[in-house]
Amino acid sequence: MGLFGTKKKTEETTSGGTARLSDGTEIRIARQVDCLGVSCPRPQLMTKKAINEIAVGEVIEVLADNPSSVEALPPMCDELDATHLETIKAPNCWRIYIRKD
Amino acid sequence: MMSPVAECFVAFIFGSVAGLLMQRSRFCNTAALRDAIMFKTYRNTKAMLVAMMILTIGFTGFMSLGAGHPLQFDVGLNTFAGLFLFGIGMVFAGACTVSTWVKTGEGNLGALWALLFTFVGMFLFSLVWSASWWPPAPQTMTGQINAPALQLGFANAQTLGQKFGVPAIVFGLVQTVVLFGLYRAILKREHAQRLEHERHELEHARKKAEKAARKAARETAAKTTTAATEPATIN
Repeated sequence: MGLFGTKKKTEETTSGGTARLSDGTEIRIARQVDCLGVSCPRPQLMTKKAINEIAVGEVIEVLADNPSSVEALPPMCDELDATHLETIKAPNCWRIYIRKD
Repeated sequence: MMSPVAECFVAFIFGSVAGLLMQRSRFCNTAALRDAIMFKTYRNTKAMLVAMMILTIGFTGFMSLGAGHPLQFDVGLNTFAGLFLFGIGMVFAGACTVSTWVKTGEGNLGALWALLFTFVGMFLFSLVWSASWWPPAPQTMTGQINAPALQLGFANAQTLGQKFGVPAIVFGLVQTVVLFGLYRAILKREHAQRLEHERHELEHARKKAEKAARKAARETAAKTTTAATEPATIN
């Protein structure tokens, strides 16, 4: 039935890979945060945690499919001393790139 | 007067339009309070403050005109305790009653559970609300100030207006000014956040440029030394 939720994924973040922004710049992703199927405020919390763990200048990629979290992430960046680079619409989710400053 | 069916129909239309606006605007009372505390973001907080300002003016205006049927209920320690508990529950559920409906409509099963237990809670509340079901109610909830029972009476603008002979809208305007002050404070805070971040970003860029300059200087230094030694080796 799925009325009681499914088992949580054990691995929430993975690392590695590169991505291309719409202006053509290639960025190296220090870490990917997988927030698919997770609703407010967990994506924000997971992103905050990931930003606190990476080094200055590194970029994280957040995969999110919860619209309110996608909207809530860019304004959070000022407080977290990070820059929201871009939000790219992928087939089933948004890919959000955030750089720590 | 409208027939009950017509009333239900009007309520259904109104509810649907309100629901659609809630879902599309992603307005969320929980996020308004939670995000302000946890993430220092204020998108929903600002929206909630604007809504509160409009409602305050509207309600107290109607009360001053003597129109409408204002809801009368006793305010006391029970109100503060209940609202505190509701706040805890709302953050755990990730939604208050508004967003619980919206999320359930979107197919969120966690919200469906929250909604079912909202009904349970509402039913239990209806038992307490009724004076005949809750024995101390007639003694404490009299609409008058009752200090031993920790009750403030009907603590709303209408009662205050009747007691002091001042129209309710005056109290409404005072409250609106306070809310607007909060709104201004949030805008100020957001501006400060942005400036702080820009300062950090500049500093970071400066450090990066310095590092690159140092590296370039080292490289040219290495080149000149090889250039200086090269003729010697040729000779």
